[in-house]
Amino acid sequence: MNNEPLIILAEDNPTDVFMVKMALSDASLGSKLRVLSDGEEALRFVADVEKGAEPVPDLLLLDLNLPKYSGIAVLEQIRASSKCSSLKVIVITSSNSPADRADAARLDAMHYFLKPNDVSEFLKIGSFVREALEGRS
Amino acid sequence: MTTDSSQINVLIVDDEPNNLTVLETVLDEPGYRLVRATSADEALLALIADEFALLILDISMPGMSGLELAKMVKQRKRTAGVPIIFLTAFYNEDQHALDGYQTGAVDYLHKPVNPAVLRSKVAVFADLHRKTRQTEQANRALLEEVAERRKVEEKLRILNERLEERVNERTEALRAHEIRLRNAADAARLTYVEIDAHKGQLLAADNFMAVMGYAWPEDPKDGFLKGEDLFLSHVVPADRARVAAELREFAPGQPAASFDYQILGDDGIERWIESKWFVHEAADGRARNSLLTNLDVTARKTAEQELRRSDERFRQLADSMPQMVWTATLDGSIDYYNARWRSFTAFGEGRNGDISKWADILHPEDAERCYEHWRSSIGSGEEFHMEYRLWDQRQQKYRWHLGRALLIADKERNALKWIGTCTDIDKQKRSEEDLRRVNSALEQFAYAASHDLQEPLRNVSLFTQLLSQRYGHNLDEEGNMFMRTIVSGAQRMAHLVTDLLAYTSVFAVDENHAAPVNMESVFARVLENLGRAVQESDAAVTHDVLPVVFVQEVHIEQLLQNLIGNAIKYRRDEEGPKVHVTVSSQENYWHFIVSDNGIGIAPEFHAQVFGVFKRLHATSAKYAGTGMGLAICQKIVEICRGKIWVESTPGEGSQFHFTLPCGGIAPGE
Repeated sequence: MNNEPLIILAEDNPTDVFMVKMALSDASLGSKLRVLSDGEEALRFVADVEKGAEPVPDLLLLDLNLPKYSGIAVLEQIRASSKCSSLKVIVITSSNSPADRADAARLDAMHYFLKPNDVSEFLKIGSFVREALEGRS
Repeated sequence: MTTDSSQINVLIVDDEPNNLTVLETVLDEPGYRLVRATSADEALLALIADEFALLILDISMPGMSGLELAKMVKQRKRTAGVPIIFLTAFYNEDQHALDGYQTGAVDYLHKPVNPAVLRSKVAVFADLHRKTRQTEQANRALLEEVAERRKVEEKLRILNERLEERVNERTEALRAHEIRLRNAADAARLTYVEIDAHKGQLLAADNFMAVMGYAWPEDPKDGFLKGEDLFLSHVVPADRARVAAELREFAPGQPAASFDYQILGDDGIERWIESKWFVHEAADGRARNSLLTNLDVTARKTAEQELRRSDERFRQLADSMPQMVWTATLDGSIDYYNARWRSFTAFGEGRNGDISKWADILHPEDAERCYEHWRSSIGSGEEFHMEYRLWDQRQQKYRWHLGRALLIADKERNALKWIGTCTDIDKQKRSEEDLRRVNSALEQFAYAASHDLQEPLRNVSLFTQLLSQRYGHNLDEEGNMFMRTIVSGAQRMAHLVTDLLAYTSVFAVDENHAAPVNMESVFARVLENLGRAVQESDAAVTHDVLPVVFVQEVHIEQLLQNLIGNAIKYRRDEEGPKVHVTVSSQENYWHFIVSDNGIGIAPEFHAQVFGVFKRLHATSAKYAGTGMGLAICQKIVEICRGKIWVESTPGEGSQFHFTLPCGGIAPGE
């Protein structure tokens, strides 16, 4: 195990994946990024972590509108698991619905980041990630 | 005190007791009660005590003499009539006798008295006294009887008087009764003819002419036949035969027949008369007495005719209407259906059904509710109003109808009848439903579209920015201008979609999520969200103490953010924006005002600004926006059942008013 933090990104939109990567590199965070492209993959990953087949990540960047299973469903599963229950999660989503916000809060998401239309705004996610990794929330 | 009837009192007065004793001896008889007095005084006392039939007085007495006593006795009313016998010793007869007679003496006797003479004289007086007493008694009895008779006479007289009075009263009453009867008969326009067959007399009531319009033949000798002829000649030709038949068909003892007809009076006026013919046998079994009463029923008949005509007119009208019409009596039973109803339901002619027939044509889902409403209307008199489905026999399907029924009353507000209509609203109802479905589908589409558009638009927006940032230096001035246009266009599209999404998502509100929201904390959050704009413009945003309202929190946040954001955005160049939120409590709602010192809005655009995608400014960087902000505000306020409007003076500022219903907690509580 190297000491680079492992960040999981659950996101289906390639553009957003690109933007997140850009944000992370822009923030000069030495981190490894693993991308899961739908809800099913995400749940499988959680199960693998439980089994011990995968390492416990340091941070999860979670899109809510995932195909097959929603981000909220994945988050429920994470909080119900034993190894990942206290995993730090930042929600990155285009949904501004009160229901989603409430669910995210209920499931202890550290931040609720609305995907902006602006590049400079998007890059701000870097500082949220840094905060999370450095233990400040 | 009186003695018993047989005894009489004799008073003997002599100052010489021996003389008294002698007298007592002489007059010692059971019929005489002798009272002795030796002086005038004693004598007077005795006279007071008793009633005396005779006084025997000695004239010469010391003190008051007998004569003086006699005078006194005579003067006293009670004793004035008592006979007196004087006893005198002196012989000077004449003088004493004169004196004696002057004092009213009755007799004289010289002493010594001859006992036999004395006894006989006393006997005479005694007898006299007795007889007098008897007469007096008889008189008294007579007087009593007379008094009694007089009393009885008086009573009789009074009784007589009373009797007369009563007879008068009765007569008066009878007369008054007769007058009333006559008045009533006149008022009721009732008259009669009485035929006394026995006496061969015809009697018409006084008001015959007034009621019938012609005079009953005066001469009773002409008999009934003439009267009958005259009568029939006045009956209108159309009814004559029938009336004549009625008059023939009388039989004694039968119940009265009544028949009506029209007559033409001598005054030229036609009247409707209802006659009743009473015939009864007279005591001798042969002669017949009859009574014919005639009642003027013109008013009633004309009213009936009018009613029939009116009814007829109503039916014609009802049958020509495209609606279904029915009428019902006050208890709810239907008594008439118009032609359209009958053809719609194929009940057919002559099958005027009652309310139970409705069961055949009402949609089962609507039936129960319909009966309930109808029952309630019958009971309360309230208008019946309901939409229900009826089975259309021709088209073989149910059609929506609007059923209405009204209770109609006459001029005096007496309830007469129910009139009901069924109007076919099937087309409208279905198009309403279609419209709702379409609307709903549209809303869903709008929501889904905005939602799905977000992502690609965001992609375009972001990458055009990246392109511009990374490769912009490869382009010339024009090229960079093109890039800027693309980027801003993309961003604008993205903003539009975000706002559209916000607008359509307001439709998808779940009202059950309304909760008490502390507007103070919402306000704080809004200021945080608008942080950069506030900072950049150096805005001063203030507010009254805000209440707690019962809404969805996110809506209020959006509302305030849009309004305050606008207030900051549409500021004047000369001074920093000042925004203030006031709140006042009205009867059952809160009234908010977001006022600013910005550029203002001209009155002709006050309504427009709330339109979807409506902007008053060209797409420019100065006042960026998509034109959705106020539309969203309006939608939110509508959903919260409030109102929103603007007052503004161009160049001075704007005041955006909105109301939210109460149901929350007042500020400061």
